[in-house]
Amino acid sequence: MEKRTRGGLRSVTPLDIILAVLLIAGSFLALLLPPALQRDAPVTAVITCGGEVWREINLDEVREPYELDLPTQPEVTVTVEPGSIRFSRAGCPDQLCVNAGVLDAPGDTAACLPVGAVISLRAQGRETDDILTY
Amino acid sequence: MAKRFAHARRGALAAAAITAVCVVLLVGLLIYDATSGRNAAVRSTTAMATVVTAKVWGPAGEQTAQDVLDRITALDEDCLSAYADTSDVYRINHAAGNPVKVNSYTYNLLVELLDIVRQTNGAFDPTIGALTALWDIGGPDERIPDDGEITAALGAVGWDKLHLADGNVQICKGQLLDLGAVGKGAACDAVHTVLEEDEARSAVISVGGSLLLYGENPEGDDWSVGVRDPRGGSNDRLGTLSIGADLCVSTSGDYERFFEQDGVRYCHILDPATGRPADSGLISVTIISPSGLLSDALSTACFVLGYERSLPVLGLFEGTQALFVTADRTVYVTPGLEGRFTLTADGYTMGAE
Repeated sequence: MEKRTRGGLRSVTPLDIILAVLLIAGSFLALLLPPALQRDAPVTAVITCGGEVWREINLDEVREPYELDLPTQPEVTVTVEPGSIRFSRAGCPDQLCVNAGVLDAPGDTAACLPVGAVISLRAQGRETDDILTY
Repeated sequence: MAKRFAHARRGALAAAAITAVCVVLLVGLLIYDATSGRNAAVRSTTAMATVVTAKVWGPAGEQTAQDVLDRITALDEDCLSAYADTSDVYRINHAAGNPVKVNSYTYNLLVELLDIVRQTNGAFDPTIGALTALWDIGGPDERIPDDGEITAALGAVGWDKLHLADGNVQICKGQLLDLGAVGKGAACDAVHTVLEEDEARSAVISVGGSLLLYGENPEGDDWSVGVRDPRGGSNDRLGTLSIGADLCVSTSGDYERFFEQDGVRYCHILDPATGRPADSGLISVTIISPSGLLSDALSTACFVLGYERSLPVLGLFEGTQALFVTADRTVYVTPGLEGRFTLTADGYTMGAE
């Protein structure tokens, strides 16, 4: 017959302890998984200016388009949209950054070299390739 | 009553013990996850007039990635840049033909480079600077020079006139060194040392598309390297190469810097023999080699030589493989890449050997 304490709970048995440890340890296994098995990592746009990370944007969480003016001279503007990002305006003469177009896949990269600005899209485990040669 | 209290107390103690174990376990796992380096640290910057990205796995990944970027920036400023007045190349080009004492890195690089130049019979020539400046392709003054201008500039091109002795470098008056075709590959070699010293486990370094694949892929497979589609957007793939550890990759193509006039594309890769943009029937060449310098130099040389003439040259360099894309959109790979390239872009076909 079970014995009960005043609170109505029965005593903790060794089996209870083993079961609890197994369940909790199992929940921590996600941390031990290789990154490649961590599915559905968010696509993050990393904007770097002068070698320093200026902004990181989770593109999966963007609901409405908006613009960002980078802290550069000449001025460079970035447009962020749901799932994508692009250089939209730049004061540099060659406009290569703007012509790079929309970045929307992990691994996509564009840069405005005259101002030292780089946008890279990262999503661990979701890149098509490890790197691109060009 | 006392027994009930004892039971309750034992239960509470057991719960507390389980909670403590879980907290210790969680903290330990979080510390492990943060310090083990199993997740890559990624840093990007601009240097050498291009984008540089360092992706590093290791116990000090963030610091190592930054060390890599710093090393590349320093290499450009101290040795390779044609524009920074602190650089050896700048000083050589502004010495009016007089010998210039350079640092040992630059000197040894030029010694190694000249050996490659000889074996390619000058298809790559680091003294092509006068022609590069004349055409200025990709720059504000890009144009088609007339024949007289090209002939005059060709007079200043000639790797056999580059003189190296006792740590000094001397070019002829009017000559200009241009290491733009090899600097990115050389930078990949230079950061190999940084990765070793920082005990990085693995790394992928990109210097403007010239790559160092350091160590094994942490996910256990070969490295997966996308090759840019020569006629697609800047992030479009021609296909994917599967490459092993500790190799360098460089690509030369007619799509990076060019202008078009009257339906003709004039790309930035100049033929030292003709003084004009290379017209070998290739639109892209990718070289894989244990040496970054070699992969970069050969990508330029092979682009100038064309597919057929490149094959015997490649045979002189052990461990070097190549992928060629011709103007009619046929892709050829050397035997060592058989089964290692997957074509994914539309409009291209794989050529037979």
